[in-house]
Amino acid sequence: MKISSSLSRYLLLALCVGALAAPLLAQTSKTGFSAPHLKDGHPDLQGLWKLVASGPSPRAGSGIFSGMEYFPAALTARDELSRQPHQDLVAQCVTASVPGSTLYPPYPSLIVQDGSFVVIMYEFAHDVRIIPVDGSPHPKNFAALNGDSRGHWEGDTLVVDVTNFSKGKRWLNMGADYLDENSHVVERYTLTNPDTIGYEVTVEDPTVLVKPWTARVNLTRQPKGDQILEGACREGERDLDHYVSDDGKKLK
Amino acid sequence: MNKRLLLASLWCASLVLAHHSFDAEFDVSKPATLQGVVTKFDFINPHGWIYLEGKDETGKTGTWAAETANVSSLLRRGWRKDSLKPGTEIIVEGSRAKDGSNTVNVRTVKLPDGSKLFSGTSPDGSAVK
Amino acid sequence: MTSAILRLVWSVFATALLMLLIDPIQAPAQTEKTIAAGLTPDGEPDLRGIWEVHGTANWNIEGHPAGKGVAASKSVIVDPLDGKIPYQPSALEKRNAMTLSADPETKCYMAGVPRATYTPGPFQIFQSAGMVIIVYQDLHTYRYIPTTPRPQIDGADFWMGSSRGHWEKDTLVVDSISFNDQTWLDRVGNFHSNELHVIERYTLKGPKTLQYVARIEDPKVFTKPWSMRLIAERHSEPGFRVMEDECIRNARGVLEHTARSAK
Repeated sequence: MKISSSLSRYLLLALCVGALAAPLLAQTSKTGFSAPHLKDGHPDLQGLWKLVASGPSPRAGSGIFSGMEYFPAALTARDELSRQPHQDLVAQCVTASVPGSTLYPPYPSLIVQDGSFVVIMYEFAHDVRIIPVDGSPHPKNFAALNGDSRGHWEGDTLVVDVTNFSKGKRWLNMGADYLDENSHVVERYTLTNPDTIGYEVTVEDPTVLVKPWTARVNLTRQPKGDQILEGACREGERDLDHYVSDDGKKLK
Repeated sequence: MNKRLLLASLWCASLVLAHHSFDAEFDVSKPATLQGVVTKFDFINPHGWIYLEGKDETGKTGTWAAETANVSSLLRRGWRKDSLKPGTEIIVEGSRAKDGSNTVNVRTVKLPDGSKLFSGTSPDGSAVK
Repeated sequence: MTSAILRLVWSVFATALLMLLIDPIQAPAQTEKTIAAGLTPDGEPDLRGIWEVHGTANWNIEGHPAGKGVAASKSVIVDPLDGKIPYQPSALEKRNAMTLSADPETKCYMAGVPRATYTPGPFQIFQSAGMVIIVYQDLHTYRYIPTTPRPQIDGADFWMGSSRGHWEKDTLVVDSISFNDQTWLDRVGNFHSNELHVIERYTLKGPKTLQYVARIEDPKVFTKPWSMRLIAERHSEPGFRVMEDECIRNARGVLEHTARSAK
């Protein structure tokens, strides 16, 4: 079959234009800001980021987690938990978990993108999440305090899906807002300008929350002179021994 | 670094950190004022600790432990491990520990030259201006 | 019709030939004496991957007989040649009086440098944006090692010190200071002071072999600098990854590593 040479030339031109235009279209966000891209074609989210809370800190009982709607039984459980502050894995210097670690000002976090991994290092208790972005699935028969994170890109947004949390209640703040092993967290990281990541997190937990809860906050890039610092915690922990209950009994 | 400038930069804007429940350990309604001499300054995470020999506002003498914000916050503001040397006379204002021990959560530290440092954890964990 | 097919076949063949010619053939395999590492997208020697040091260094870095469930081993110290740490006399007395139960590792404290390299479990090296990140499975410890120049942090004592890195040909050189005196070098009690200064050299010796040399200097404890050499092997089992490791009190109230007890 013979294709006319001029038609084939036009087809080729159309293909070339299409191929060039597609990545350009993908880059431009709703705000018109175009994130710088790494050699692998994905936006560069790397750097030292910190949540600067405009209202009460997420760590306070009156912060953003107070918007979660609990089942009555879960609410009772929360009140009971609040009387056992020594059970908080944060107080024990174990982990602030997900999404607690991200919503923990003024501790910053360092994001590094390295091929098939996104690594997020948290200054509190030197926590770290190694997030595969290679399309691999969540493992079966596996649980961890930070759950299992799998990332993928939707345009210029890094979407991280987190499941497989360990059994037990993990505190989100000092008000004993909590999630348990049935929680499913989806995070979305989008660079909205050179120094801001729009962080959106949705949490569902069918045994704790009446409906999914979503928060949107901004993570601010820290000045170049700053760096992530060592977050030793257990090594210098001297508070737990002083904990007392409401009626003055030693808790630990 | 000029000490006055250093402390001025630490005044107010010091962000607070409580990795633990303030209320389980300290009573904000029971303030304490300690006057004494620094014996040791542990410039560590998750909280710094100033150890001093001195007396509280009731005249009770002894060894006191005063908890500060974490060292990462202090480091970022220019503090170093030798910023509070043993032998320095200080006045500490803070909240007493509920368990009756000689432990306070620091709100301010006043140095001999009159300059004040804010460093502490607030009851609701929020940033204190 | 046949000539059209022949023309098509020829153009495909010609294109393939052209692509072969313009696409450079890989350089011949390097010999042991030259660079074994490929390059990262940023053009650095590629040390990335999951590595693990095997052996008994975490028990005792000097030569030791078998005992307490640990195999015998030669010293990992390569300088001085006798494989013994050159302690000052009073420091040697202190080392000899150390008790196993006082090991900070038993309290789940961070291992320090160089010990974190050889505590049980793998570590993963990431390289990007002018940094090398090493994540050790043990207690999810990580080290931030910038390889673009920036001032060091002095005036604070850290468990893992403060590190600055640079490349010397195919070797990553990491210079670390600002240590506290709390970590040990192994279980039997080899130790250091807060004047510890460590210079590590990471060099790929083969596709699965990472050579690690650490030069230890501490004027308060040792009479002169000394060096250890270890080999880390690459993990390439499908699906192998650094696991979450935490320290939780078990039912008997004893601190236990979650990764080490995981099946």
